[in-house]
Amino acid sequence: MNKGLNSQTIQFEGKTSDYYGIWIVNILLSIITLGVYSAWATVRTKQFFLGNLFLSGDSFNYHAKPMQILKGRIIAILCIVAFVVLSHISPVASFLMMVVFYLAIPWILWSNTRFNSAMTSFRNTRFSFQGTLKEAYKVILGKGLIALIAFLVVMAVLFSSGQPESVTGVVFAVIICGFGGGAFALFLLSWVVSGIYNYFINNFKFGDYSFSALVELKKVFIINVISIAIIVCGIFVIGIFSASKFHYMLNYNELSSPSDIISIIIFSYVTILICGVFSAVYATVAMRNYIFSNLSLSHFKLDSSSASLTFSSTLQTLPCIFIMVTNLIMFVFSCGLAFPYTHIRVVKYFARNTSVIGDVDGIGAVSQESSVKSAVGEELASSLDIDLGIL
Amino acid sequence: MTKISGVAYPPATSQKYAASIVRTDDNRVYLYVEEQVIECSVEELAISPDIANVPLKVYFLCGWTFIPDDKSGIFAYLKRPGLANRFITKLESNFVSIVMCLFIVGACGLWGYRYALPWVSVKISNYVPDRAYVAAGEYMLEQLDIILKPSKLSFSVQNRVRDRVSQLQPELCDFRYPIKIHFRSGSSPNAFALLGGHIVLLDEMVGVAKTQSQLDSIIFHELGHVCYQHVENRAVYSVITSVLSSLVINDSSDLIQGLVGSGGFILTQGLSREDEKAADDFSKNAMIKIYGSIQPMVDIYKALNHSRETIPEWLSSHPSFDHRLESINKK
Repeated sequence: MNKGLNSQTIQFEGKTSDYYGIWIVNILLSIITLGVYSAWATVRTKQFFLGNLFLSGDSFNYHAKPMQILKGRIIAILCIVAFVVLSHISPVASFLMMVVFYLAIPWILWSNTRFNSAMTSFRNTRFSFQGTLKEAYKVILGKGLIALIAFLVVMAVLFSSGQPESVTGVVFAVIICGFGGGAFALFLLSWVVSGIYNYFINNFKFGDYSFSALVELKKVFIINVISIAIIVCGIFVIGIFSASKFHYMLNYNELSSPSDIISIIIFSYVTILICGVFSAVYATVAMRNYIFSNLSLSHFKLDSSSASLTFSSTLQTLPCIFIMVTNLIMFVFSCGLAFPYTHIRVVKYFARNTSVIGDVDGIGAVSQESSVKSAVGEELASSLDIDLGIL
Repeated sequence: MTKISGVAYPPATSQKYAASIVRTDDNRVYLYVEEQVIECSVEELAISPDIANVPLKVYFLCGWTFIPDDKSGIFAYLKRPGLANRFITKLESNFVSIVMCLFIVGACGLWGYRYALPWVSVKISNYVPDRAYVAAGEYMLEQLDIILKPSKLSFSVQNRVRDRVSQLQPELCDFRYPIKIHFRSGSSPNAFALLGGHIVLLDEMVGVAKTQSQLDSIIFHELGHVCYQHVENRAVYSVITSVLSSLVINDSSDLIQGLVGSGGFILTQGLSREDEKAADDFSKNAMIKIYGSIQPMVDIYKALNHSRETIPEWLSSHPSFDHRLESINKK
């Protein structure tokens, strides 16, 4: 980070006691009104969180109208109910719904991003998302399809390139195919993911200022490789543990007792769980830090009179895991009542590890016209848990 | 005249200015920003909701936004009632009301899960067309055929059972759809009712039954499920709960969703045990009506009790055989 530039950390000033009241009243009124109030609850919660997020003395603001959310929610619920009912009744309808769902993912992500950005403002200036739907389909479905076909073709070529004659040859071929295929799949995944990030980040605007970042394939690939390597290490440890157990049983001519088998299963399960969590958190943290280190906000007429900002994210894997695990323990032991505290704890951690570098007060952004009104995409995305997870 | 100071932003721009507002007796509001004065009537102002310590924003019709340094009293100063918002803000910030809300939410949650949702499920289930249930039942049977083997019982034995069921069913209940008995082979004695009036009997169950009346008591139990539409109601119930839980806990992690799902599963098993008890009662009444005795039912339950592995009752969809036998033997 350049020390010569003014760096300001995002502050979250919301108190757990305040959020506790908002949260429980939201739930109660949503129950009493048979879910209708949930739209008002969503708006109120977002207004609380964005309104308490401060940068350079000013807070963010959320502008969505509860009626917009309610309409979007009703449509989203009808879609989900139709999906669940049809998938219970007919396999053909279930398959068709799955196809429709996958075809709709780019639209849902695009629509969700457009709505959320248009409803958020800072210093009276709205954010916006200017990416086209066509481009969304190109980077998500188009690239995804090309990656899938490329993977299938390469695997078909690898498997049909001759039969190994010895056992060593078979083992060697399996290792080559496994590692080669895995590395190629990871490369293709990184190619698709970097394309998606580039599309979404470079189409974000703050008034007439544009966000930009170059998310390099090489960096995304390295993050994915490390993330997968963590899981591979876990599998390796499980392999050594299981092999030593079986070796002991064979050498001492002991039949495997149920307790031995159970200990191997429990050890494997716990190791995979720990490695899985570590791998997922590492990938999220590394990706966010990398994207923020590349992110900048500048005016489209880049001249000396307009200020520009850069960003920094300093999340760390171990503290993130610590927060996640302790939050889970608190949530479970409080029967869910600790949710407001755990939620605020996460937001505070993310906020204090996010900095904006540059002259924030020098940004003279002007809001652009927006026609975004429908919250259907936003509601579908939140109901189906589809999220880019950048910010 | 009282002045409220704060900051203001011009229409659609992020430049911040020190500003103040003044309300006059004729309900006009003046925003003073450096050399400029912006004027509008109180009715033309929009005020953001008052939420905890979130800064309050006053929006002018012409696009200016004013943020007071101190938001307390701004509603009264501008003579804007905002009653609903103020009531909710009071609820959210009062300790007693928060504790009361907690108790009411807890009670509503338990009551809803235990009574309201099952009641709604029954109501909705009645509106679902019969052919949808029949088709779903056929699909379930296709899925079961992946794990079950074809029956080894002769067609004459199978048809004898089917004929007896079709003879007896008008005496037992006004069934929603015609009953279809299917025979399959599995690994342990079992019988189950599917959606749409389909009943599956495993060869092993037929094998455990020493007499026709013992087998009938098992079939009557499954007919009880069909008569009371337990499977249909349970299917609608699971759709509703899965949609509701995805809406309520969609902000939480997958791990938390899994834990909530497990809690829901255990509660649902409780409801399932009630269905089993109702089906047992149906079978008991049918046995008294047809055979004048429940002894065959008691005998086959005792026989089945020996062939089952034991899992904790609270985790099981069925009550324990000891409880079932005790319940059957009650007058």
